[in-house]
Amino acid sequence: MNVLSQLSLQTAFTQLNFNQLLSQYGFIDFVLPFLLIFSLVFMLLELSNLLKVSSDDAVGRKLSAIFSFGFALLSIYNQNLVKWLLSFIPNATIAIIGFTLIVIVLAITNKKVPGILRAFFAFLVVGIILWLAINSLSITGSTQSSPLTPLLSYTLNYLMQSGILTLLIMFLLIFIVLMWIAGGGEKKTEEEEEKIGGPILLRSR
Amino acid sequence: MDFSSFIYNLFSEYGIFTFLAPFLLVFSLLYGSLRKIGLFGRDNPSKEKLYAVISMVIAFYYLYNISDVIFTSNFISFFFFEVLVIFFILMIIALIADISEPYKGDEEFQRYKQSSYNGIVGFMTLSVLFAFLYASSVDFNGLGASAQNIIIEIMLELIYTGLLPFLIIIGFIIAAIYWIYRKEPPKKKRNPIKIFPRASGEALIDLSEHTRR
Repeated sequence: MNVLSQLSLQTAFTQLNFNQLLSQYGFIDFVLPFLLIFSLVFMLLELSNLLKVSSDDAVGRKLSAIFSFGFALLSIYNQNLVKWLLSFIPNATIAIIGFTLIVIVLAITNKKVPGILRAFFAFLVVGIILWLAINSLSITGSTQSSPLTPLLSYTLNYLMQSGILTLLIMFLLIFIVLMWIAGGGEKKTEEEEEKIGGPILLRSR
Repeated sequence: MDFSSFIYNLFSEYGIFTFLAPFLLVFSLLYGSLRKIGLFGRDNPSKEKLYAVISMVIAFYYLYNISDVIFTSNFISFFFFEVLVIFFILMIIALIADISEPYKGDEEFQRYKQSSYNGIVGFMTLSVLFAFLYASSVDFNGLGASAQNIIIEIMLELIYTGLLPFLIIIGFIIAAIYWIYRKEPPKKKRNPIKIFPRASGEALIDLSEHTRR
């Protein structure tokens, strides 16, 4: 037991030192974000051929590289981005591992996921990743509050106090009711038509 | 002071972040764009030099206002974060797409799928607007202040002149007229609430497959 606890302590110590060493030499705060941003932006530029005259344009390729270099350096200047990446990427990687495990389990069963579950999974992925991203953004609050928020609340207050909001809601309700009535009528006639248009033998009787 | 802070301070001090990086970004973008659109003709022998000079001059003008550089830094960093989020979403969805059966559906389903697809692509382009709003909210001294002032001015103008309720009511009337005079829907129309989520999910998976091609 004692040996085990010593070993775990040693492992924790080594890990802490290694992480510290990486951080100390700017690997996590500087090198990794730079490489990630540079490679992604360069890949997107190469895919879109945005700065190339033709697909084998060497100058265009160099310009894409320079643009990506500048983009990466200028992005790192915002230190919040480094914090977002540090918070978002590990969690998103866990999500990738989780979904990969689901894929592995489903591969064992050798059955394809049906259409309805496929759509559900797509929404689940979007939800989880967006939630993680918003969580990462919330770790760095903005330095000043935006003046757009009080303006929006002022607009809402104005609409409420002047009675326009009530009027609009009433209009909306009337509109919805009208749509419902009109839509329902169509459905009923359709159903009736369907009933009428049943088997010819039955209709002839 | 650790090494990363030292590098950061050194880069800031020697203008790597505020001079070199924005210069390279703007210069390469302008030079590449000018080459691509070929504004001064394709056969002009000195066009490349002209493009380079024009790009360089504009890039230096851009660097003159440091708050614009900081605004750009916030703008592109947030935009990159959004791109990364989209990248992760597409990566995981592509994993799922391989082990699932596509749902073909009928013509109506395909129509919903196409409109969902267009909606998703449109929403993705909104990421630029979100990045702009983020940069505006962070940096008031830069371009953010003027950009937000424009939005505030427009909103206040709409409220004080009474145009806002008028526009909303006109919108309702147009919607009503459109609803009345639109083309007759197909007879056996299914409940869109039931089809739409499924069609949107399919559109998301389609998007990841299109990206892979």
